[in-house]
Amino acid sequence: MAKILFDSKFLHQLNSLKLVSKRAKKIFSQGERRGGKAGSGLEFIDYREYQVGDDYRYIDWHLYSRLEQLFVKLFRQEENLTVHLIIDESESMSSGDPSKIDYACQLAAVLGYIALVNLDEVGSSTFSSQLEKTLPPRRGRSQIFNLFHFLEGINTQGKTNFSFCLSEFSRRQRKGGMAVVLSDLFDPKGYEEGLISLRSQGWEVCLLHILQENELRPMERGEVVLIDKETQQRIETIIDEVTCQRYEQELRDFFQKVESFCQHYEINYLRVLTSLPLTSFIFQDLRKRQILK
Amino acid sequence: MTVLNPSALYLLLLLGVILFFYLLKGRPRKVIVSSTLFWRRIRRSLPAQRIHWRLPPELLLFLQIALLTLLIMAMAQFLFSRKERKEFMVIVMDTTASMQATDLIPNRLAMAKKRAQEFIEELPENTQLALVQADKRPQLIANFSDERSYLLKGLKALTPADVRGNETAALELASSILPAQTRGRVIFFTDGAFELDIDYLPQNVEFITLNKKNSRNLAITSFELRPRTEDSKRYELLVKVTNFSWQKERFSLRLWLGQNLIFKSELVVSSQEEKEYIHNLEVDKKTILKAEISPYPQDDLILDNTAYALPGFSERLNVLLVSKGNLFLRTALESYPQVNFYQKQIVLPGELSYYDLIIFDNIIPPPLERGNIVCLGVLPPNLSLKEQDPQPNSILTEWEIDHPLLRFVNLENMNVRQSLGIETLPGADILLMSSAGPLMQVWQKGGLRLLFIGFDLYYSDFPLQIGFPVFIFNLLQWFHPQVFDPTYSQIQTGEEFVIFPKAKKEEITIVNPHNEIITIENPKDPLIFSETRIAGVYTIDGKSLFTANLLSAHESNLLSRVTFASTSREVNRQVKNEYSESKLSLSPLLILLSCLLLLVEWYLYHFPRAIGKRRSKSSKRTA
Repeated sequence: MAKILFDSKFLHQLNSLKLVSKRAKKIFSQGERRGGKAGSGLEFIDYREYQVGDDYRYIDWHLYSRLEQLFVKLFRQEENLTVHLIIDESESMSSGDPSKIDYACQLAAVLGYIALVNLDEVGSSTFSSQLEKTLPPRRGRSQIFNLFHFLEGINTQGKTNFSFCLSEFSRRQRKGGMAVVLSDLFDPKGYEEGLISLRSQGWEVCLLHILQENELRPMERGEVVLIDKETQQRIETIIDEVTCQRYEQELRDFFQKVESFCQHYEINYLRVLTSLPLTSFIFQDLRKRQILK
Repeated sequence: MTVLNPSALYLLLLLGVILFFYLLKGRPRKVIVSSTLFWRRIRRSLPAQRIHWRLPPELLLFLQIALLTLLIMAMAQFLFSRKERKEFMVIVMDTTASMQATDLIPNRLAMAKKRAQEFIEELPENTQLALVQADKRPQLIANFSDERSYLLKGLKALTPADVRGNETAALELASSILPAQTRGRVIFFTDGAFELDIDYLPQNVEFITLNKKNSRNLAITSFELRPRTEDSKRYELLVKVTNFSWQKERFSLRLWLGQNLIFKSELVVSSQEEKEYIHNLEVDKKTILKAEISPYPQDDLILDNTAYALPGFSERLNVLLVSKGNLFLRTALESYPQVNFYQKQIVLPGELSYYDLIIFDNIIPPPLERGNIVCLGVLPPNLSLKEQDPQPNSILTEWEIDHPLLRFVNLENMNVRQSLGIETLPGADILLMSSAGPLMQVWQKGGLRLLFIGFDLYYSDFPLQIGFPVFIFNLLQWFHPQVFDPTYSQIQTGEEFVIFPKAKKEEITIVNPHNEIITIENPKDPLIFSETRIAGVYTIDGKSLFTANLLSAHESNLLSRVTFASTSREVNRQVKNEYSESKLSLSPLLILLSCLLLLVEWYLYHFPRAIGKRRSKSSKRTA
């Protein structure tokens, strides 16, 4: 069970941040987010000639008095962004100190908090072999506690079925928004289908690849039996320098593949190590990648 | 296949150490990882890392076990027989009196047996071994066999005898039983306390001597008793004591007659000196005379510190002369106080057993079955010999001067005017031969001892010869040595003792000095008793029969006179070397194999991937 503990100073710092969504399909409901289109917001953006059917309330009568033509004021549409935090809670996420799941939960909490502070709707889902739990998207500060409570209740379990779960998610959640996927991507069946499915449903996807230090470079040496945490599959091998080099090469290839995939599908991909302080990741890396501003 | 050094095989226990270390060797550590996704890919890309393609540790273990086994086999000296050839060896064990010497603890024989056992156990397996016991009468204890337990059992059963050895005979026996056309060997475990004639020493004899150079021994080397001529009850006793030590010895000499101490004296004798003591004594009846010396301190051989004798005649002989009258014989026989003389002209068969000696002088005897008989000029009717015509003027051609009957009897000037012309009795010993045939024959069968003289005393000048009374004495002594020979009842240990039972008996029971009862069923007449290996007094029917003493200066001299002895280790090494020459030693081959295995193990340990790559290639080809 992840512990979500933030001090007030940190939360105060988070208040100044905002999630940046560029491509997400937004809900045209009243929100705090300035939309790109004209709508029923408060911010004036332009005039246009009155057309039949326009709301009389938006006719600028001062302008009519000067020009004797009817012009309607246009306001920027205030949009509502739904941020969905999709967390991988498979067994593989439980490794490391701090564990990847703890790190993912804390990161999700931070992102959720930032979104809720900015009056976005925030929901969350967990998955392993299937979609496990879902916190429906809500807005408002009360959702913060719901979110924290939800995140604290996450326990690692089962195998990863990344693509199936994300496909299932995209089928269920059709309204789109910003999907922040926190996972270690350790799924032999691959991750591509799930992400494509999300993108096809109009979700702006931010993929946060969470890893731990010794997954980048194995610390063990000698003859070992490697036991897969999820599948309990055993592999007897000898880890030496050559093996390590091969492993790192394999990992680099994998990262490269993920990066090129995400670039192709306009997915924000960011890799994070659990050894990296959360504040550093939030205030530097996420801002640098313009996920937060 | 033979193992020269089987003790090296104990090193095989080291295999357990290797296995133990393999058991100690940690199994692969279990490491729980988030995912084995990349490891699986790596394993596919690194064939040598595949666990099934890797060199399994069991192969290294196998190589190490094989390496150690080969090295141990090389040390054990495995020999491969090019051609099966048996080695023959005779172990001769000296069990004479000197082997009882306690200069080696517990004694020389026990030490020799121990050394012999070690020697036997180290010999090559297929050596055919025989065991000969060397004492007065050497005997084969165990015939050739490669079964060690059989030989060791015989070796263990060997006991020392109080006898002087006949080493030359023992070595000849050992040498003679070696199969012809084989290179046999005789190993003599002895103390070397004997005189050996090197000229008669068989070849291939190795001496392994066990003794101490500074052994001490004081011995009675002579104990002789002779009756005084003036009185048959008085005796003159000679005791000779020899000091075989390298130092002056002090001792006490005691003489016991029965239970009575008749003489005691404290004496000193120098090194290698012998001293004689003569003592006169008077003996009424047959009594045990014992001489005893007690050195200060006790010497290394106790056996020769005591000697026994049986002085005193108790028996009288009933001698019957069946004759019409013979002055010569009568006069001669009556002159002996031990003789009860009888004369008759006719004797009935039932009376024969009453007399100890019957002389038929020209009177045909009845059929004879047992007894001591002398026939003068006649033949017993039951001998079925053809009697020829009397032969005149027989000329003596030869006579047995070594026979006890003719000892000191000079027949050179004897003339026989007429003799019986008879042929030789079957199985008889001819003592006197003439041109007309045998004149004097001795014939023994069952209980019958017959002296046949083929002429009438009156038809010869034999009674007038100086040798005639000597002959009569010899005759009495030969028929009844227990009465007429003062040394009859005193023998050297190991010698045979002849017993002349008066009547036919079903069995004779003799008690030896160790109070062991020896029963002889259906004894022959005379009985030759040979179980006299123990010194002391032997009794029969509760009466002292004879005494057996060592009385041997050769045997009592405990110092080794064998100057060319070897040690058992030297001989064993020599045997093994000879044995190895006939065998193909596998040691060089085994060492070479070991080196190869070592190389293979080194290669496999340091380049395990080579095997993996090769296997990988081969599997690809297969695919």
